[in-house]
Amino acid sequence: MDYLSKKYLRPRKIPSTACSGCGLGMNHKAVVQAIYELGLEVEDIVWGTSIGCAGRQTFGTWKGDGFAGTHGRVYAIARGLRLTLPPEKKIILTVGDGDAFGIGLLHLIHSARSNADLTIIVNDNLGYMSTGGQYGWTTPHGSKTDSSPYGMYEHNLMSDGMDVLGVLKHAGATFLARHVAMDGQRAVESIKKGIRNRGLSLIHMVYPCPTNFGSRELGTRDTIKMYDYIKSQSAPMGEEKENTLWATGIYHDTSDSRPEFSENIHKNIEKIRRAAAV
Amino acid sequence: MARVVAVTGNEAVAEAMRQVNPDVCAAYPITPATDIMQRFTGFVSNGKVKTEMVLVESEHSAMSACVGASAAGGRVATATSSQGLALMWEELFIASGTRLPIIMTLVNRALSAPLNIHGDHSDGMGARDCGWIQLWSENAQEAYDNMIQSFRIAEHMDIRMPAMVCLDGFIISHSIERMEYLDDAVVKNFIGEFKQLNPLLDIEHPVSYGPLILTDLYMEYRRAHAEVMSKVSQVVLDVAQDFEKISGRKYGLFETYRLDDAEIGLVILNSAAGTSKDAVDVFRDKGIKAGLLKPRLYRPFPYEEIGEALKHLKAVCVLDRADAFGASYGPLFMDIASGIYPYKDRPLLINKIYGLGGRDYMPEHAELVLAELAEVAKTGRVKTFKEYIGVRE
Repeated sequence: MDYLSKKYLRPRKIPSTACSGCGLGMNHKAVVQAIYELGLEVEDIVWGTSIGCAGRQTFGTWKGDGFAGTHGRVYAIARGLRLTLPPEKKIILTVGDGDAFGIGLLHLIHSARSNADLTIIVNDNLGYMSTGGQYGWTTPHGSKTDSSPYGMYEHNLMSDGMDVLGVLKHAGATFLARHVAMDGQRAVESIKKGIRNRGLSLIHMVYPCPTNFGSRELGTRDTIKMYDYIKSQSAPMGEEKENTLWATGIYHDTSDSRPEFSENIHKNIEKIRRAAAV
Repeated sequence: MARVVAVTGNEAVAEAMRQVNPDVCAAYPITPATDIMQRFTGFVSNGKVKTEMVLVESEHSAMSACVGASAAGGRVATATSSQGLALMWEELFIASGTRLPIIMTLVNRALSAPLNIHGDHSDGMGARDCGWIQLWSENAQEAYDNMIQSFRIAEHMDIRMPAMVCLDGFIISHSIERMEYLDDAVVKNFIGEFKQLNPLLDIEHPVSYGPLILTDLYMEYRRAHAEVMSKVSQVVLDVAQDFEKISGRKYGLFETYRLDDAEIGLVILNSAAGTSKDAVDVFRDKGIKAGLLKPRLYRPFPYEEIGEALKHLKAVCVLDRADAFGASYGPLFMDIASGIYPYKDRPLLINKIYGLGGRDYMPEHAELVLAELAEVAKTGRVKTFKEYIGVRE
């Protein structure tokens, strides 16, 4: 256990119950590193989680306050929380791809529309891995999964020129970035910017699942092969190659450019109250 | 010839679905039901069924897709658990209110919060009054048999209502047991061709599903729904009679075990009934007249028949694997109580809440309850009417 996990995480939750070779811990570490580098303390943050691998493995790990939402609802819960929490307190959500881009997408879009001050880390293991490895909304085309043994052929949010970050950009999100678990400090810098932005920030972070994704798509649970699968198909934005699925870096940054959700509501209600008083 | 196999509850349900070969299935993964649609997807991919299969983005959408496909005139099935069922809540009423014979397997699991993936009956009990037929199953064999019968029941021209087939999460869904599969041709012949009733896109006979109906006619629709529910029991019995002919297995509205001459009895649903039957045997060996009743058709609840079956007992314990918070007793207890209420001489009733969130229910638990019932029967006095068992207080 390193220094940061002692400082910020509950010792009894480390190590997590994740499968051997799971890359979620790398993403989790990047978030905690970003929190540390911003000088934030345990009491500055409320941590929310969802369901599935990402939700389960990060649930209750934060030493401070946390809450678990049902599948896809954590964004709606967090908006309610944002309205009542002092503005200087941060809300960080660690969720999965099925949660954010599937069952919870409507709530996520409305969180972006209203520019709620949330930092959402979408830990993407390329499908529904905790239920055995069904394909999801970011599963690369042609991937063999438990529910697509002959290759995933459905349109999804990362195929045919689609990009889920584009959806969120047009929905009003003010900070969007994409990384893979191996990005290290580059990912930490993006998360820091996300946390600093007073508005909706989302960092999409692809991570390796050797147990279910790897065993079906690559025919092996070899961790190195699964890591290589992700690393070799990612590249920094501007340096994309033909096989690049995940262009990493900051996708969209208009930090602090629009009034934040709760601030906007509080300000306007105050204005209406003043007008009514006159 | 029937095939003897060793399979999990989920595998058995998926096999029943393969043999039925529905027109449309919608799915969204949720533990512990995922495995059913997962296996079924394999059948779709391998061309074993002609089903149109759609993976949607939430359970709400799964049931919505089922509603659409069923209204269009297809034979439709899906499966879910717990939060998935909770998220379908709105559409459950649309399915029953528009009389769509959708079949759904419910792999019973506890509801959040706190999050728990293990077996209890909170999900099914939460949906008990949504107008669906509910068949509950003790083991993989019953789940399989109920699945096949449910299509006949739901699609019966006098019924046309959606039906849920319930089995215990993990305890049954993920345990391997010996059971028998029927032949494909036998199942196909048993369920018969799907008959459409007022399908959409029949432009010679245009219909509307679910339009606005206010104070003028809404109540009549609800009255009609209640009328249909009153006919389900007889259809369930008729279908069971036909099913016995093809399988040799006898089903009723409920199962009784050593109940005819019993003085004390347990009423309990699903897998824990199997455990309890062993405890009943232990008490019979001691010379105590114990028995058991296991409801199968839980909605519509055959309260008259169950009242008749229990009225001669001196003391009965209803065991609930879910609580009805703020109500007087657990949900099954309240139904049983209403069933025996009309009788002047009726058994004393007690209620135990057990096994929430997958907490083990052991033979010793059943034996403690039976010992308490023997005491109640002897003295005519009840110390505690409702109690949680197997809980750290």
